[in-house]
Amino acid sequence: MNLKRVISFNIPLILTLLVFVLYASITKLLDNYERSINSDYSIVLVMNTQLNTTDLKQIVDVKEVFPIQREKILSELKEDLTDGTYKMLENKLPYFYNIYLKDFPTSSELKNIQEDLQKLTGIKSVETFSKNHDEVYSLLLFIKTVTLILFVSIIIFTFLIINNQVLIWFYEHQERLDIIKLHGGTIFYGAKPIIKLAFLSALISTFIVIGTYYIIHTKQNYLFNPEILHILKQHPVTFELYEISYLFILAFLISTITVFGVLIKHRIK
Amino acid sequence: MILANELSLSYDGSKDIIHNGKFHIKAGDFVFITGSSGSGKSTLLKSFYSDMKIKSGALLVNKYNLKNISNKKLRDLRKSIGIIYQDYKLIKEYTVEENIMLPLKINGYNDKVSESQARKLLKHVKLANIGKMYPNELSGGEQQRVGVARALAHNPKLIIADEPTGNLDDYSADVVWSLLKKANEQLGITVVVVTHRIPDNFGLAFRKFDILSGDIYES
Repeated sequence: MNLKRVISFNIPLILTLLVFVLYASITKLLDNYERSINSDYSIVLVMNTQLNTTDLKQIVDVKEVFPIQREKILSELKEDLTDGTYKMLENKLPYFYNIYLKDFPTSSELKNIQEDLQKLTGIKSVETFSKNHDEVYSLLLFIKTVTLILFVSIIIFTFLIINNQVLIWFYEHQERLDIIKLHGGTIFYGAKPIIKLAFLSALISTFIVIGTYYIIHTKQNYLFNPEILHILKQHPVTFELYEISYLFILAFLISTITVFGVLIKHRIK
Repeated sequence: MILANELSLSYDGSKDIIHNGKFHIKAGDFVFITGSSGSGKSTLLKSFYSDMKIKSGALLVNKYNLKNISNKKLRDLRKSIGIIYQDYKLIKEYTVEENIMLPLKINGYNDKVSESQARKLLKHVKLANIGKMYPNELSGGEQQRVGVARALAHNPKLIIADEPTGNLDDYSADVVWSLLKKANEQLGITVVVVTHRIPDNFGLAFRKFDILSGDIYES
């Protein structure tokens, strides 16, 4: 098997898988991060009347609703107030609720939620955590988007590179393919070596990327600066065994779809 | 075996190379097709394995009607015949043995059967020790004997040969003729050979078609 061709098949596949791992890692990191900041933040509702939770659940995906104890506030103030003033305060004091959402919303989602909550019957005001919607989260979201764009671009680039390699292979082996055709063989029979190469390249690139990931994972103390290490330690990114198989499936699909695409085109010609 | 009726062949619809050819090659025949250079004898031979499209008329080879033949039937036809080429057409990346195994593997035989048949044929063409060599390590005569072995590998009922001795010295040519005669005489294979010159003292009954200005004459 031509080493140059093996390398030409493997380099774009390895690049694709590395970017895929990067994208998957950032997605996992972001999910972990969302989970942790979601439990730290809540939305506060200030209401003139008691909250109807059924109405609330129709508007947002609520995990938990906690009323802030109104009686406790009133009892703390009772001693300093006259009976008349206390009665007036009791009538005028609004109801407070802490709302925890199921998923951590983006800034725009949070804005929509705030607008929807304003429509609740008896609502006085809605205090969201938009001011605290932190920069790390926004940065992670940005990196995730950039990685996704990079991933899609690299997949296209990989398809083109492998497609070219297959076309060159066909050109180089035209004589052999013609002889096989003259003996009644199919194009798929003649192209067995390139089909094997596609499969082998998917395997090789998967192993290389798993190895690279393992090295990065075990040597992260030397590779990343303390700020990143801190984030990684707080929100560790781990992959299950079945998720590793996605790498091979992705590499296998890219290489075989390209090879079979060229084969079918060749066959139609 | 091969039946042609009003067969006309031409490249891209231009002047007929073969015009209204009519002949019948029966099972077990040994047929020479002769004619001057450019007379259309190789074109006629190519039409037998559908490497040349039929302009008009009918051509039946091994019961396959070659007019508008489907890809599947074309593959089946080619699997059923053995072809020998003037330029050998051996696959240079394959060893001699692998070249001989090619039609067997295309016909679905497993590696073990194909290897054993290839070795048997290499002995038959007196090249028993070169199985692991590559075609470019062999002389022209040896390559053509490998070509004959490949054509015989899957026990075809029909062998067609295009100038099989055209590039060979006298000794190698004699060996090839003797192999083709044996195939016809002992195995009952129909052999159709395009050649410039029929060997002297051929020693076997044969039929001869001459092509002259696109017309086929049997003499």
